[in-house]
Amino acid sequence: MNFDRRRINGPEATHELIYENSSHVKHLNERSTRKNDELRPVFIKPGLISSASGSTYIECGNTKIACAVYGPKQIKNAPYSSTGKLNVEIKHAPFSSSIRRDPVKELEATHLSSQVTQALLPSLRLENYEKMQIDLFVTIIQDDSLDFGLLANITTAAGTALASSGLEMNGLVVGATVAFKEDEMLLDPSPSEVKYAKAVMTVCTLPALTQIAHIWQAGTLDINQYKQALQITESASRNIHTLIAKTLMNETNA
Amino acid sequence: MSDVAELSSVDYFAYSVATWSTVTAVGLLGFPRLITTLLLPYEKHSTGELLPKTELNGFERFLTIQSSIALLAAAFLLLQLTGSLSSTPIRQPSPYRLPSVTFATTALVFSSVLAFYADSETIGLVGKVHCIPAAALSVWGISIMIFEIDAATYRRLRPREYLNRFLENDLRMDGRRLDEFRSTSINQENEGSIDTANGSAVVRLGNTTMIAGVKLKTALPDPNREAGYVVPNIDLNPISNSKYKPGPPSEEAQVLSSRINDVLLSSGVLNQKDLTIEQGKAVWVVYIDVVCINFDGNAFDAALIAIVAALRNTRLPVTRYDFDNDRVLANPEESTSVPLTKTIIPTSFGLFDGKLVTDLNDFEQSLAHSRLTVVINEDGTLAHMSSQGRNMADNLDDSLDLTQRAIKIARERYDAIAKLII
Repeated sequence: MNFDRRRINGPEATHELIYENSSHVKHLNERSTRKNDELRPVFIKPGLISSASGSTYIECGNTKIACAVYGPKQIKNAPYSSTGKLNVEIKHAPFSSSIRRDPVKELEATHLSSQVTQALLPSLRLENYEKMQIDLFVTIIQDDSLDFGLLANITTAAGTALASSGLEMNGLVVGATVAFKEDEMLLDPSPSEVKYAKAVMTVCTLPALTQIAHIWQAGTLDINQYKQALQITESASRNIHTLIAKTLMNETNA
Repeated sequence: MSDVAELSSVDYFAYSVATWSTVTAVGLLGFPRLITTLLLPYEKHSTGELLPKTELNGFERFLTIQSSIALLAAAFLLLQLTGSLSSTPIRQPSPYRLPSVTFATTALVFSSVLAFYADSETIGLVGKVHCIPAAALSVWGISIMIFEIDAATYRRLRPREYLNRFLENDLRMDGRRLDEFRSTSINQENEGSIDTANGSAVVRLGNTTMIAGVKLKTALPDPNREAGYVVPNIDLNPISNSKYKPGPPSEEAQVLSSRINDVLLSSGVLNQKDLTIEQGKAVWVVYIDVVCINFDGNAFDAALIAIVAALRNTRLPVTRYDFDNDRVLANPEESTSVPLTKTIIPTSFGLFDGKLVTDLNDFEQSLAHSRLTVVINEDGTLAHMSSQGRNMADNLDDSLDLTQRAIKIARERYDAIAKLII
């Protein structure tokens, strides 16, 4: 089933390219150039999408994400609710990963959406937006960090977009990811590092309040490592938080 | 649009009227005797002589309190209905702004006229004192109703008239001339290019931003037609504008994709015969996906320019067919460019009462009587032309004239855009 009347369809069966020498798949050992607790360069630009209430474009290494907030707007024909509703929709562009993501087969990234929603909820004051809905749309233009890293990057982008839309918030949420490779802890891991890690953990924090908003972890971990990981992600989040705060200040002053 | 609206004259009017009636009401409520005794120190006695007033009677007191409560309620209602006093943290544009101003002004006119002609012998100076601020406020209200419908309200209520005021002067809302384009940028290599795609381009037409990504795959050829596949799809993402909803492609996106597909196939930009890898065994499938990140009109031009630019920087790996395993093997080191026969550049126009307007934004596009699209080849010939909507002009001669002017503008546009594409 590869046919969708609403799209231009290609042939039924297609094959990904197979390269003759597998050495082509360059495992750029980035760690040779960056330290274990060093983030890839982060670029954040708020206010890119003109018709949205708030928006952000974020580049984190090669991961590129666009994010827009629409609303708050009134929910029509819905039963009364005393709090607002945050609706997160995440979508991968078909060309965002090395294997083409077929939009016909591709379901929305529901799991990632619910994780992002969980991470953002502590920052929002939804009780002030009764009967209203806030739409958050995310498009992943290029994915260079896999799901754990994406959760961190999307949360950071979404937090910035929500802040630039002028919503009432408790603070900015910032995400950071650590991969555990034997005894080493690798901050902001690349896809290959995630692949060979024994555990991965994404921590979303509210640096201004020194609170944790959300943790997602897979693989087995030593409790001590867990504590260490929290410290590493906390200091990384603090740095990103400073960057975002500066960017948002410049944006509002400009 | 941004929700926090700036305060306009309607808001100031609402604040002033509310303040005035609140002050009056509080005065009446708190010091009914003080006011009446200050302004009307004497009362006409049955004997005909004026005697100092001592006390309000029960009926007067009742009327005073009732009318002051009514004034307070009116002040609150006016602020609510104009949306000047917001009950939510973010101000919602109120649909009752102008009706509220009209209502308040009417009430004020009556009030001031009645106060002016009231019998000064019985109520003394109260009438004149009341008349002056009421008259001033009503004049303000009338002037708002006549002159100062703010632009945003006018635009929302009467979009076509709003736009026509600009077009009558051969100007656009953003200050452009009718045949001027928004600033256009094409990014193929540096910032914003996508490494996971085989070729990509980011095109910005004013606010409209489109990202095109090319992905290559292989497939068995169609036995009847020995040629590669080209699969263009345009996604009008909900991120790009509030009018697009999540889910399968909207009608607009479907129409756009199939129009682009038609142009690509009929103009023969890509030589599909050259997309064969091994006769009868394997051909290339060129997936071109365009994602709209920011939508502000003229999606067709932005998408097609992005596609052409993305195809320009797409590299086809050199391949060989592995007959033993029935598969295509690509050489990671060597690559060729995509078999593009030429460059095509589109230019879309809108027609407003016989006026040709280029590069419409979202607002203009929703109001255009008809649309015309011209796609120009490298040598200046026409690759494609289409028009939609009501007849372009009243008669055939005018239509031809318009078309010729459109082609001339499109040729100039070709030169400008072709320079931007590497």
